[in-house]
Formats: sequence, C-alpha cells, structure tokens
Amino acid sequence: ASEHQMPASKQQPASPNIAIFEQENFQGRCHELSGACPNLKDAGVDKVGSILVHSGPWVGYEQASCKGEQFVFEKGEYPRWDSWTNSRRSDSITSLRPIKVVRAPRQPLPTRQTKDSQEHKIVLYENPSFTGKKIEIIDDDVPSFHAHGYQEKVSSVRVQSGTWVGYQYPGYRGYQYLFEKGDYKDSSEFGAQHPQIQSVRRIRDMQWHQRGAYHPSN
Amino acid sequence: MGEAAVPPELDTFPAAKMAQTNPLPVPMGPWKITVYDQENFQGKRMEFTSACPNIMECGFDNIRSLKVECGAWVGYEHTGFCGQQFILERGEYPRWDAWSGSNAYHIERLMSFRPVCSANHKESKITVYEKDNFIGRQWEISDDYPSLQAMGWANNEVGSMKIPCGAWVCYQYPGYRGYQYVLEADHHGGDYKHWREWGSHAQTSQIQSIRRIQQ
Repeated sequence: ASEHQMPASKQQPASPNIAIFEQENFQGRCHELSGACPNLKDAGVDKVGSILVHSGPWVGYEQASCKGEQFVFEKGEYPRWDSWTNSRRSDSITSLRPIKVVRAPRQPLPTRQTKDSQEHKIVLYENPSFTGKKIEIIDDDVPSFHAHGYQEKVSSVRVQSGTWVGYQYPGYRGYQYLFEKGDYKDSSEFGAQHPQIQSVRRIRDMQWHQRGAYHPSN
Repeated sequence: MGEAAVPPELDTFPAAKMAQTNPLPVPMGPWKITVYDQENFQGKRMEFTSACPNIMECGFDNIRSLKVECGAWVGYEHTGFCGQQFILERGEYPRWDAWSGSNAYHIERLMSFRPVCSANHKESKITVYEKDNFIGRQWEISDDYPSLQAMGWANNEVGSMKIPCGAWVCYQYPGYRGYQYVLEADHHGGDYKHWREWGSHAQTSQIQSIRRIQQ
C-alpha cells in the first residue's frame, strides 16, 4: 500500500515555509518565512523559542548572515532550542535559509541501483584539498565511520549529488555541518573549527525523493 | 592515562539476576567497549565484552567518556538498564554530551550498558502504526528516516511498532534528536504495542525520526 506512485501533478515541490514562535511550545508571536532571512532581528523576531517546519528543509545559523553554528531543520516540530541543537552550546538562531535540494534523477525502479542513478554521493577526505585517506558513501546513511574502518579526521569534502549533514560524533550527535552539492576544500569551508566528523546522513524529502516515501492508501 | 583496572568476571555474572533486570540473549558476536571515569578517555579505565548492569560494582562512580571498538551498544542513565537510553555505535565519545544528545532534561550519568545483539544494518525492517496495538495506518520501513513527516507520515506520533528483524533507534524530534528509544527484534518478541514499552523514560508517543543501528 505504501508503494503507490504519486500523480505527477502532486510532485511539484511546495515552496519552503517555516513558522518561528518567540516562545517555547509554539507560543507567543509567530513569524512565517518562505525564503532566506539573513537577520531575524531585522525581520522583527526578538527570540526564537520554537519552530514548526511546514515545508523544508531549512538551515538555521547562530549568527547573522548565515554564520556560526548550523542547525538543520527538516519537516516536523521543534518545541525548544534543545530539539534543534545537538551540541547544547548555543540557544541562539539569528539567520535562516531554505536548503536548495536538487531533484533526484527519475529512473524506473530496476535501474535505480546502477551508479548513474544515485541520488546521494559524498566523499570525505582526511586532509585538505581532497587528499589523504577517504570514505565514499552512496545512497546510505552512516552513523559510524569507525564501523566502516575510517578513523581519520575529515578536512575536505566533495558532494557529487544530494544534500548531506555531517556530525562531530557517532550517531548524529555534536556539531552539525550542512553539505550541499559542491566542493569544501578545507574544514573552515564547512564551518568546522575542528576537522572531526564521525557520522553523516542524507537529507531526504518526498518532494524530491520519492523512493521510500509513505503514501497513505485511501 | 590512569591505571587499567582488572575487568570483572562478567561472563559469570549470575544468570538469575540478569533475567530479573532484562532477559538478555547470549551475545554471539564480538563486542568491545572501553569506559573511563573521567572525560577525554582519562582516569580509571575498563574494557567490557558483554553487558554491565551496574558500573558501581566495578568501582566506578560514573562513566564520563567511552570508546566503542566493536559492535553496537546501548547505554542507560540508571543501573539495571533503566532510564534514558543512549545508542552507542563504534567511535569515540569524549564527554557525556557526545552520547546524550540535547535533551532539556539532560543527564550526565551512564550507569549500565549492554550489547545490541540484533543490530543488522542491511536486513533491518520495522513497521510503524498510527495507533497503539498495531492499529491504523501502517508503514513498513527498511531505511533511515531523519524526518518521517518529510517522507509523508501525517503527524509527529507513532502509536506502535513491530520489528521482524534488526534493531532500530527512534527519536522524539526530526534529525535524530531528543529522547532515544532502542527497539530490537529480539526484545518483546519484536512487538512494541504501546509507547510505555519503548523504555522507562518514555512519556509520550512522539517520534519524528527513525533509523537502523549500525553494528
């Protein structure tokens, strides 16, 4: 029942939409955003107390102009600051932007396993400028690099397809680093002060990634 | 680095006591975890290859850093495998916040731990149901879902779950955040018919992300 294909007309991605509440548990003044906001204070948001993501994904930043610690938001409910930070270092969000997602190649199911149809591919390197030992991940989430025999630091990253989140600790904990398609040749380019990443996962949303989506049958 | 303590006779831990706390399957694979009583892998150090229901019996007052060298483990806030659960896969955890996530009710205690015997990244399956007792809309899952709602699930709750194979960790918030619930095919017969069965720390049926456990 969950394998129905959506009609093509329903596959147009909805425009990004996020509701920011000034208090915890979706209370207080509410501000809705449908695009990037480089400084929430300028937009009249005094404090970010809770967040509802109606259509995502989004990335929040501790500082204005998309700087500082990153917080990835996918569709869902975030009633307190501790539901979006993984590091507990800061409860501040000062800027937000939608994450650009590239639609997965639409291939008939039997060919989806071939290399050309990969939806997500990332290569992480021990040293800057894509050198040293590397770990390559295709269409999977990896909660532990050590379990795959990779125990080195991560100083540069190349995303060939898809959008990813890297984490300082195993099991998607600690600092979060957003990786969009492109090259990050030094850890400062992905916003890390220490070149340590021990887990990485895909960002998936049925608006772009139909494989594995849930379609309730009528 | 502190002195290495002598590992206790864990293999001969009384079977009756284990059965009272949690009916553990006999570990089959290689598991290895090293725990320390200070942060950053300092202080008293001890290696384990099977479950530890009470770290205080090994002369620790708490665990403040750890390394998982083999297998997947689950750590608990309290002795006897109770309280908040922390999934521990291979890697280095230098401080409590590396395993506890970011809960409002944050804790800096890890007093018992055991291997997750049924972890199987390739073969894991779980069916989630809208309501408790396996009623309502259902969704059979064999992949990781950082946001159930982004992939079509209607709300922020899951009523009940059946696990035919593998081991899963379910989280309160999207993106693998908030309370962690470790659910296994070889516990409860793989059937978790109400949120009260997810763990002694469960307070609601809120689940917004689900993933397989890496062995």
